[in-house]
Amino acid sequence: MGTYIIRRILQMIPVILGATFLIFAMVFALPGDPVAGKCGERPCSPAYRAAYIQKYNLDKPLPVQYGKYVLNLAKGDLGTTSNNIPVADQLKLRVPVTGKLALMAVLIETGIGILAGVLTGIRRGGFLDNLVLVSTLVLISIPIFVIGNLAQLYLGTRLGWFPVTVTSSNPSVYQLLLPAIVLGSLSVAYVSRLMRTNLVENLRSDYVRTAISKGLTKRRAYGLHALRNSLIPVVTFIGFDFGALLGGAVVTEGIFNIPGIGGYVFRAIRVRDGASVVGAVTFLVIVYLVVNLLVDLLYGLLDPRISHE
Amino acid sequence: MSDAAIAETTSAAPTHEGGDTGPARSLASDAWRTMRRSPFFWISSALIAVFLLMAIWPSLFTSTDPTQAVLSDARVRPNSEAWFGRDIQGYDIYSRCIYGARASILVGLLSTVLTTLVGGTVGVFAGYAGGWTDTLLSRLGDIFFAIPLLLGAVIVLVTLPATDNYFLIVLKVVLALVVLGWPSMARLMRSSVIQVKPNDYVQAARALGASPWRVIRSHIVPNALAPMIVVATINLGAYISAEATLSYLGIGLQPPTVSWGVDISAAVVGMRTTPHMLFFPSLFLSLAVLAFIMLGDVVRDALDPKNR
Amino acid sequence: MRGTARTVAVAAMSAVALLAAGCGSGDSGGDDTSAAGGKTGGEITVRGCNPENPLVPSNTTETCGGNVIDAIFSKLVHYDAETAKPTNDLAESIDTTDNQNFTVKLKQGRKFHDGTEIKAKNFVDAWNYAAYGPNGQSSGYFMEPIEGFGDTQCTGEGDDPCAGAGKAKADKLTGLKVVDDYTFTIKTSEKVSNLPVRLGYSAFSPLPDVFFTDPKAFGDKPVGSGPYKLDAWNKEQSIVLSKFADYSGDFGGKVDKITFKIYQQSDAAYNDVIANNLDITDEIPTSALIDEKYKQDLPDRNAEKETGVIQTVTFAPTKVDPNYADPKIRHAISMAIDRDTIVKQIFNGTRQPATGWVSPVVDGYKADQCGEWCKYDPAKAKALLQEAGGFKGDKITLSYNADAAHKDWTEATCNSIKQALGVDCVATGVVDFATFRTQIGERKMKGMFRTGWQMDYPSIENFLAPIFKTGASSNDGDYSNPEFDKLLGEAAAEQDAAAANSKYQQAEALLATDMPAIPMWYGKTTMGWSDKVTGVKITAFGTIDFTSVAVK
Repeated sequence: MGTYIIRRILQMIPVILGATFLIFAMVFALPGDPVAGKCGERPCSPAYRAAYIQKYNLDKPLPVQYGKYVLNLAKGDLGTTSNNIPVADQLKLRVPVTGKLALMAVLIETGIGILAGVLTGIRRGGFLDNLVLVSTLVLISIPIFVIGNLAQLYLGTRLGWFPVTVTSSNPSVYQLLLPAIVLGSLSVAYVSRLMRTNLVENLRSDYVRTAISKGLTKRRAYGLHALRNSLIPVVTFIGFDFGALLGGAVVTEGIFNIPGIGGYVFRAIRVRDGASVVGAVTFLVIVYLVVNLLVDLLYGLLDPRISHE
Repeated sequence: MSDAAIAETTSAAPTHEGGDTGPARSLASDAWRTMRRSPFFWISSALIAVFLLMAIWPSLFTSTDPTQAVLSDARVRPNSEAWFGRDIQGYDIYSRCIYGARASILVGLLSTVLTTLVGGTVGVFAGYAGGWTDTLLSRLGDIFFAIPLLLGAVIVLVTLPATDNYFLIVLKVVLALVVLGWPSMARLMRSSVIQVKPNDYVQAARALGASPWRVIRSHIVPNALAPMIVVATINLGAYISAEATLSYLGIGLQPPTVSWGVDISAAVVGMRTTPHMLFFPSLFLSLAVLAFIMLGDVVRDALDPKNR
Repeated sequence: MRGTARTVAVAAMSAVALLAAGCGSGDSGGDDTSAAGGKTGGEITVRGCNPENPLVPSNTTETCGGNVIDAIFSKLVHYDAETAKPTNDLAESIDTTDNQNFTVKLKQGRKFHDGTEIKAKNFVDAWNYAAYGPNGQSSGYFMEPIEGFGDTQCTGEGDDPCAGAGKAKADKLTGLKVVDDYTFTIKTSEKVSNLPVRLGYSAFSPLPDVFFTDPKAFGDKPVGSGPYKLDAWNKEQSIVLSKFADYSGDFGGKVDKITFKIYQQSDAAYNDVIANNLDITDEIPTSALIDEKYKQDLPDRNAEKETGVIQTVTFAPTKVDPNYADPKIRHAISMAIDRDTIVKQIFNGTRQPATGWVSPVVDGYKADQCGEWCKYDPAKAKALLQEAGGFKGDKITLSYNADAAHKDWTEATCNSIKQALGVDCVATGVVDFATFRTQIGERKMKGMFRTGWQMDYPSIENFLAPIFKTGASSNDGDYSNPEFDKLLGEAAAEQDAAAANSKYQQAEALLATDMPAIPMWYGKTTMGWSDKVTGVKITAFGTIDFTSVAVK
C-alpha cells in the first residue's frame, strides 16, 4: 500500500510537467495579440507594446519561455498576471472560494444523487423511479446558463430566498448555496442514474443472492454488499467531477459574480494571459491527481477483490 | 426510420456474447422481444424518428426560411402567422426549431460516439492490461482531463481556420468536446473493467487459454458496458447542452449555422420579458435529450445478459 | 452648477475660445435643483471592472481603470458633466497667441494626496515620463503634438525597438519648460488650436514626486490630486476611494466613500442594484433593456444620456479587399441599413441613429453630415449597386468580436443589407477581441468590420484625426485623402474656434463622399441606481458624475 502511494505520487511529476507544457504550448499557439484590449478599443502604442512583450518574454521561442517558467516555478514564483497581480496572490484568494463552492456542489450531488439512486434502484419501475427519471432528465436537458439565470431570477430576485449574487471575497455557505445547487444539478442526474444502474445490477448478482440465501437480512445484504459495490463507479465519477467543478464553473461563477478559478482562467485565456492560465491549470492538475489517487485508494476499501499491488 | 435506428443499435449488440457462447441471433431477437414490450421504447423511438426526419428533411415540416428576418416584428408572441412567435432578429421561431435539429443532433451524436469509442477503447486496454500500460494511458488521460473544457474549446475553435462550411463548423465543436471528453469515458470504462476482471468467468476463460482479445471481446466488454451506455446516453444530452453553453460564451457554433443551442443562448436575455423565445427551442432540446436517454435505458435493459 | 458651492473658474480669454465658450455659455445654475437633494457624507458602492494596467494616468486608456483615475486625479481643465465643456481646474489660465506656444499658469495651494503642493514640474515630469518610449506608457502618444516628441521614441524595428541603435535620443520633450513653480510653457511642433481642450484628458494629469521614486508601487496605490483618494485596491474585488480632506478645487463630491465593486457581468451588477446590494450600475444589461424592463424594475431610478461614443462599420483597406473599393458600393451598403428599426428593436432605443461621424455631444458637431447616404432607402441602394456593376465578391461579410454583445446588431444589420440589396451578407464572429484586433491590425480582415470610438476629449477633432488622418493610429481602413489631411492641418492652425470647427466640418463632409466607414449610431449610457442614493447624473463620457451623487 505504502509503495503504491509513493509510486503514484512519483507518477504525478511527469503528469504535472506534461500538463503545464501542453497548456503552455496551447497558450503559445493561440492566435491573437496579447496586447490587444489592454488599451481599450484602440491599438496600443508601439512603446507600450514593446515594454509589455519584454516584460512577459513574449518574443522568446516556446522552449525558452517554458524553461524560464519552470525555473521560476521551482523557486515558487508563479509569475504575474497581465494586469500585474502576482498569480500566487490570485490563487490564494480564489482557490478557497472555488474549493468551497465545488465541495458544496459535490456534497449536494452526492447526497441527493445517491439517495435518489438507491430509492429508485430498489423499487425499479415504480412511481418514484419514473419521477426521478423525468426530473433528472429535465435537469440534464436544460443548459446550465438557463438554470443559473432562472434560479437567480426566481429564487434570488423575485422570492428573495437566496442572495442574488456573492458580494464578498470570502463568501458564507449561505451565499454559495444557490450557486452550488445550480452547479451540482447536472451531476445529480449522473450520480443518481449511475447509482441506480449499478445497484440494480448488483442486487441481481450471485453474491447478494447468496448472502440472502445464507440468511442475511435483506437490509444487511443490500447495505453491506450491494450498496458498497455499487458505489465504485459513482466514486469514480465524483472524483473527476470534483476536478471538473473546480475549473468548469465559469458560467455559474459569472452569473453569481463569484470570484473563483473558473472565471479567472476564462478571462486569462481571453486576454492571452499565459502566466495566469498555466498557474491556475497547474493547480487544477495537482488537485485532480490527488483526488484521483484518493479515489483509487477508495476502490480497495469498497471492493476487497481489488488490490493495489 | 425507427427500424433503421433499431437496426443500428442492435447491430452493436451481438458483440456481447457472440463468438463462443452461442448463436448471436437468439440474443438479438431476445433483446428485440424485450424491447418490443416496453412503451418507453415506442415513445422514444417515435420521438427520435421525428427528430431525425427533422434533421434530414426540415422542409417537410415548414416552408419558412429560418434566416428570413422580419425585424419590425421582432420578439412578437406566438400568433397565427408565426406559431411560436419571432425571436430578437425577427426570425420565425417554429422554423428555427425545425432547422436547428440538424446541428444540435449532429453535435450530440458525433461527440457521444467519438468519446465513447476513444474513451472506451483506452479504458478497456488500461483496465485489462494493468501495469505500465494502465499507468501510461491513465496519466495521459489525466493530462487531457486537467485542461478546462473551455480552454480546450477556445483553442480548438480559434486555431482551426474559420470556415463557412456547415459540417466543418459542426466538426470543430465536436472535436473540442471529444478532445476533452474522452478521458472521463476512459476512466469509467477502466473502473468497470477492473471490477469485472476478477470475476470467475473471466478467470475461467483465461485459464482455458482464450486469447486476451477474445476474453476482452466476449467477457470483459459485454459485462463492463452497462455504466458506459448509461453515461453515454446522458452525455448525448449533455453535449447538446454543452454546445449551447459554448454558444453562450461566444465560442460555439457560428451563424449561419442554426441550432437549438445558438437560439437558446440568444434568448436568455429575454427570459424575463419574452420567455417564448427561450421556451420553444428549450422544449425541442429537452424532448430530444429525453428520447435518446429513454432509448438508451431500454436498450441497456434488453441487452443486459443478467436480465434474462 | 452642481450642488456644491462652486465658483465658475475664470478662463483666460485669449485665443482659447473653446474654453471661453465653455464658461460663457451660461448653462450654470440651471437644471440641478433636483440633484441638490441628499445629504453630504455617507458611502456608496458602484459597479467597477478590472483595470487592465497599473493605475497610472499615462498608462490607462481603457475605461475600467479610467473611471477610477478620473475620480482620483485632477487635471488642468475639467469637463462639465452635463455639456462636456472644459473649464479650468488646476490651471489658473492657459494662454496662447499663435496656437503653438502655450503658457500655463497654475492655481496655488492645490495639493496631492500626500500633502505636497502641485507645481509646474509635476506636469512637465509626468508628461516627459509619458512620452519617453522605453517607459512603455500606453497613452504616450497624447504627447505627440508637443515639440521633441519624435526624439523620445525608440526607432528600432521588431519586438524591441529600444535595443541598440533604436534607442530614443532624448528622454525629455523640448517643448516643455518650467518657468517657475506655478508656470510652465508648452510648445507644439505644429499649430494645435484645441490643445487646451485636450488637457483635461487623464494622460495629462500631474504626477507627484513620489511617483518617480517608485513607479511600480505607485501603480498599486496611486497618489492622486482629485477630490477622492485611493484607500485600497483589492485586486479583482474592489477599489475603495474616500474623500480627500485637503481638496480645495471646485469639483468635490458629496459622499465620503466610494467603493468600486468589480463585476464580470453587467447582469450580476444590475441584479444587485435591484436587491439594493449595489448603489449604482453604469451599465444596464440587454436583458433589462428589452421592452424597457429596467423602467419597471427601477422606477425613477434610471437615467439615460448621450455620450461621446460612436459605432461605425469600417471597410477593409482596398488592397486587402478590393470588392468594396467603389464608393458607390459603400453608399449602397450604408443606405441598405435600416438604422431606425435596428435601434428600436435590437437596442430598445438606447442608441441614436448616426447622421455623421462626430458625436453630437462635442463642440463642433454638425448634424446630417452623412446626408442621404445614412438614410434607409432600399430602392435607391439597389439602384446604386447596379450602377456600380453589382457586388463582385460572393457575399458581404461583417465581422465582430464575439466576446462582447455585438452579435445581435451585426446580424440585424446584415439581414437589412441582405434584404435591401439581394446580396448575401453574413455577420462573422471572431472568437475574441484579441484575435479580432490582431486580424484588423495585420490587415488580414476582409470585408467590413465593426469599429467603435469613445472620445478622449470633447472635440470634433478627436473624432476625425485619430481615425481618418493618413497613417493615424486608429485608421483601420487605411483611409487617405490629402484634401482631408490638409483641412485638418488648417483647422488646427485656426485662431478662432468657430473657424476651426468649420474646417473640421468641411473635412468631415469629405468622409461622406469617400465613405471609409459607415456611421451606425451614437452611444447613450443608461444607468440605474438603488433607492439609497440620489442625484445620480451621467457625464458626457458615460461615467457617473461623482460631484452630484449623494446618499439620501
